[in-house]
Amino acid sequence: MVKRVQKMYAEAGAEATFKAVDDKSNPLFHDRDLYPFIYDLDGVCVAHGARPALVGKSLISLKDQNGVYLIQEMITISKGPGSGWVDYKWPNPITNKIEDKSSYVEKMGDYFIGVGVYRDLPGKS
Amino acid sequence: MASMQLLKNLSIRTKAFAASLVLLLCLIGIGGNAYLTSDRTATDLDALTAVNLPKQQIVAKLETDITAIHLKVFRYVSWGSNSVSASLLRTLSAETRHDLAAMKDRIAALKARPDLAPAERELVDSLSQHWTKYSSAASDTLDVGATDAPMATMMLGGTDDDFEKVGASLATLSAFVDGQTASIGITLAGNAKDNQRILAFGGAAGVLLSILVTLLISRSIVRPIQYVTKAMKQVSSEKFDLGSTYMDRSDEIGQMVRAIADYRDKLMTQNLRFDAALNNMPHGLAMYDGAQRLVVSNRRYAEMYGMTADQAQSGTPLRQIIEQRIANGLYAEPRSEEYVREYLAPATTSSVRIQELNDGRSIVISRQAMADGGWVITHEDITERRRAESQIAHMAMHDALTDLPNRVMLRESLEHAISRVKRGEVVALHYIDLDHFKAVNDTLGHLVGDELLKAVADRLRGCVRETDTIARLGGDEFAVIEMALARPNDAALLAQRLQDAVKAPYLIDGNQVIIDSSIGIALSPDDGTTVEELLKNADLAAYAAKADGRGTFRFFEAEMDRRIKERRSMELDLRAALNDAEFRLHYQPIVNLQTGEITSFEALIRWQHPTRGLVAPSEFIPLAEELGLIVPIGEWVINRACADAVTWADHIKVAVNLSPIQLINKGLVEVVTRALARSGLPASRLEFEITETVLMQNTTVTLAALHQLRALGIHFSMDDFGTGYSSLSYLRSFPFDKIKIDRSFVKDISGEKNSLAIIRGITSLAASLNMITTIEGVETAEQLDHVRPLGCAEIQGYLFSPPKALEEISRLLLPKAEKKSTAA
Repeated sequence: MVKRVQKMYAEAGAEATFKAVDDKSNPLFHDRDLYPFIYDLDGVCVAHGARPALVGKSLISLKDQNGVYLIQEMITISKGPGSGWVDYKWPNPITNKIEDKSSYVEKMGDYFIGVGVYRDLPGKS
Repeated sequence: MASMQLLKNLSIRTKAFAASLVLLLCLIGIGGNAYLTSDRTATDLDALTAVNLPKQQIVAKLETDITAIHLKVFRYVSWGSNSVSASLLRTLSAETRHDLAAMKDRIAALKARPDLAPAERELVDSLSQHWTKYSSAASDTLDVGATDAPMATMMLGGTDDDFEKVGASLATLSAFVDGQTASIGITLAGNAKDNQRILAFGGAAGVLLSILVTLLISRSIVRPIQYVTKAMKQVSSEKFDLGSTYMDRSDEIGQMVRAIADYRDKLMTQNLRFDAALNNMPHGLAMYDGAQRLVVSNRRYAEMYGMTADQAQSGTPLRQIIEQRIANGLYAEPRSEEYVREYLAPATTSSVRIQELNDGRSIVISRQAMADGGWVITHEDITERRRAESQIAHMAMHDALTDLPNRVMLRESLEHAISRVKRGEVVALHYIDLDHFKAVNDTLGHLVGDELLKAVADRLRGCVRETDTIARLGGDEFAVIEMALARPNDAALLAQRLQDAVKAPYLIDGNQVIIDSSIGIALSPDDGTTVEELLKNADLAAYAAKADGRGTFRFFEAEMDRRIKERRSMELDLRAALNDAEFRLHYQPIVNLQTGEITSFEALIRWQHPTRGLVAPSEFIPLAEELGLIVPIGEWVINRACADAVTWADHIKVAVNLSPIQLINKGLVEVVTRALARSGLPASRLEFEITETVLMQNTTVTLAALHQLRALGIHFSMDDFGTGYSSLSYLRSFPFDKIKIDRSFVKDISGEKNSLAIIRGITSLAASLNMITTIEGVETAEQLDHVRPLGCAEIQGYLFSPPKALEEISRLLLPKAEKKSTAA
C-alpha cells in the first residue's frame, strides 16, 4: 500500500494523493484496518486514511501510553535511513480501542508516508 | 609622630579633659548613625508593598487559573469519550477556548509590565512561548475531541507535556518573584540587622574608643609611672641601663625620670670608683651573706679560679662556686668533698689559711666574719712570692754556676753528718782541688773554665750516692760528704772514683781539656768531730796531696797538722817581723879580679827571730812570696840598702835582689825612685839582681818596670846564670849589664873540665854582648886560681868575705878607702 501511495504521489502529485488518502471510500488506500497516513517532516498531519480530524494538526509532540513519541521516531527514520518500522499504540479505526500497532514508514518527498498493522487481532491480519 | 610627641608633653590634667571630650563625640556619632540607617529601611519597605507583592499575587493566580484550564481540557476529552451530551461538550469547549484566549491576554499584560527585572523578563518570555505552544496543543486537542474522542485522548499525552513545560516555566517565575520578595525581606532584615549592628558596633566602638583613650591616657601616665617605679627598683639594685625612655618629656613624668637619671648617674660614678678600686686589687675579694650566697666579688676573684663573670654573679650560692672550682680541677680529687664541707662550715670566726691548689698555686685565704653570719673573704695568690722566696733560699745555699750546694750548705750538711757520727756512723769529707785550673782559665778563657767546672760538677754527681753531698766551695774547690762508711778504705775507693771521673778528657767548645785533681780526706770521728776541724783537716790533706805532686789523694795525718801549724806560726811571725824591725841587711863584697878592689856589695836579708835566732832566707822568702809579704819586705830592703850605701865611697855600688812578685807589683818604680831620693844615692850606684824566672813571666808589666828602672840609670845583673833554663833568649829580651855565674860551677871547678869550659863560654859570650861577668861562691885560693884566667871581671865569695853587718864592712872599707885616698 505504501508503494501505491508513492506511485500516486510520483504520478499525480501531492494534492491528489492527499485527497485520495483522506477519502475512506477509496479502496485503493483503505483495506479493513489498513490505511496510509502522511505527515510533513515537521510533524504536521497532511493526510490521514482513518482520522480526518488530525489533518492540519501538528502532532510532533504526540506520544502513546508507553511514552513513545511516535511521530518524532517516524521523522527520524525518514530523515535517516529513509524507511523503517515503528512500534506504538494507536486507536483502531474499527474498534475505536487503543491497540499495539507496527507501522512501516517511508520518506516521500518533503513528507513521509506510513501504513501500520494492529497486532492485537492476529485473526484479522 | 608629632601627635605622639604632643601627647607625651601634655600635662596629665589636659589629657583627662581631652579624654572626656573624645567620649562625648563618640556618643553623638553613634546616635546620628542609627537615625540615618532607619530612614533607609522605610524605602525598602515601600518597594516591597508597591511592586513585589502584587507581582507575586499575579503569578500565583496564573498558576491556579492555568491548572483550571488544563483540567477543563482533560474534562472535555473525558466527557467526549464517555458520550456526554453534545450541547454540554460544546459549552465546555467554548468556555475552555475563552479561557485560553483570556490567559493569553493576561500573560501579555504581565509581559508588558514596566517593573520587570531583566532576568524576570526572560522568564516571562519563556512562559509566554510555552503558553502559546500549550494553547495551540490544547485547542488542537479540543478540535480533534469534537469528532474523534480516542484520538483526543491520544493527544492528551502531548498536551500534558506542554502543560508541564508551562507549569515549570511558571514555577520558575514564581520562584523568582518569591526570591525577589525574599531578597527584599532579607535586605530589610539586613537593614534591621545593620541598624542593630550600627548600634551595637557604634556602642562597642564607643566603648573601644573609650578604652583606647583610657589606655592611651594610662599609657602616657600609668605606664610611665610603672616605668618610674621599675627604674627606681633597678637603680637601687644597681642595674643602671635605664635607656632614654620618657627622658625628653616635658610633663611631670619627664621630671621624675630625669630626677632618677641624675640619681643613677651619681650612683654610677660612685660605683665606678668602687669597681675600679675593687677590680684593681691584686687580691681576689668576695662577700657572702648569711645564707652563703655571693653578695659581691671582684674580677680577680673569678679570674683566680677560672670562673666566667656569669659564674660569679651576685646571688650564686657558695656551694655552686666551690663545685665549679672542683669541676675546674683545682682541688686534689679525693679531698673535694672535704673542701666543700670545710668551706660551707658556718663562718663564726675569722681565719687565715693557705690553700694549695692542684695547679701548683698557693693561695692565702683570709676570712673575716660579719655580724649577719656572712663574711668577707680575700684570696691572695702567693705562688710567685713563694717561688721567689724558695729561689732566694736556694740561691743562698747553692752555687750559681754548677747549682751544687755551696759552702754554707756544706757546713749544714756536715753538721747533720756529724750528728749521725755521734750515733756510731763513720763519715768522710773529701776536699777536691783541681790541679792547674788557673792554666785553663788563662789559656782558654774564663768561659771555657766555667764550662769545665760545670762538667766536673756533673761528673762528681755521677760518682756519689743519694745520701752523700757534693758542694762547690768556690774557685776550683769541691767537697763531698760521704755518709755511713762501712770501713775507712771506702773513702779511698770513692776518692779514686772521683779522681778517675775528673781525669777523663773533656771536650769544651771544641777544645780538648784534661784536668787532674788532688783530694784530701778527713774522717769523722777520727780526724775531728766538729765542722771546723773536719774542713781544716781535709783541706790540709788536700794541700799535702798537692805537695806530693798533685793528681793523687791523701788521708789526713797528724804530721800534716804539725807542719801546717808551724807554717801558720811562721806566717804570723813574719807579718810581725817587719813591724818589730827583726830584719837585718848583711853585705857581701864583690871584688874586681884585676885590681882586687871592692866594686860593690850584695845586700842579703837576715831575719833575727826573737826565739829561733837567725832564720835563713831560703826558709822564709818562699813563704813571704806566697803570702805577698815580699812586697813590703822588699821595699824595706831597697830603702835600707840605699840608705846604707850612701855612706860608702862613691864608686861602690849596692846590689839588691828583686823577686818576680815585686816586679809584678805596680808600685815598684815609685818605691825605688822614692828610696833613691830619700837616701840621696845616685841611681848609677844601685844594681838589681834578677833571676831568669822574672823574664819567664815576660809580661808587659814586668818588662815595662824593668825598662823604667833602667831608664833611671840603675844597673841590672842576671843572677844565678847557668841553672834552670839559662835560655839565651832571656839575655836578648832585656839589656843586662852583668851576668852572675852560679856558684855551682865554681864548687866543682877543680875536678870538672866542663865547668871551666862553660864559665869560659859564658864569659866570652858576655863580653861579646858588652856585659861583664861575676863568679859567685869562690871560697878557696885554688878556685880563684882556676877562674882567674877565664876572663871574669869580678868574683864574690867567702875567700874574700862572708856577708857581714854594715858596721863590719865599714871597717872593711875604711882602710881600703884610706889606702885608696892615700894612694891617690
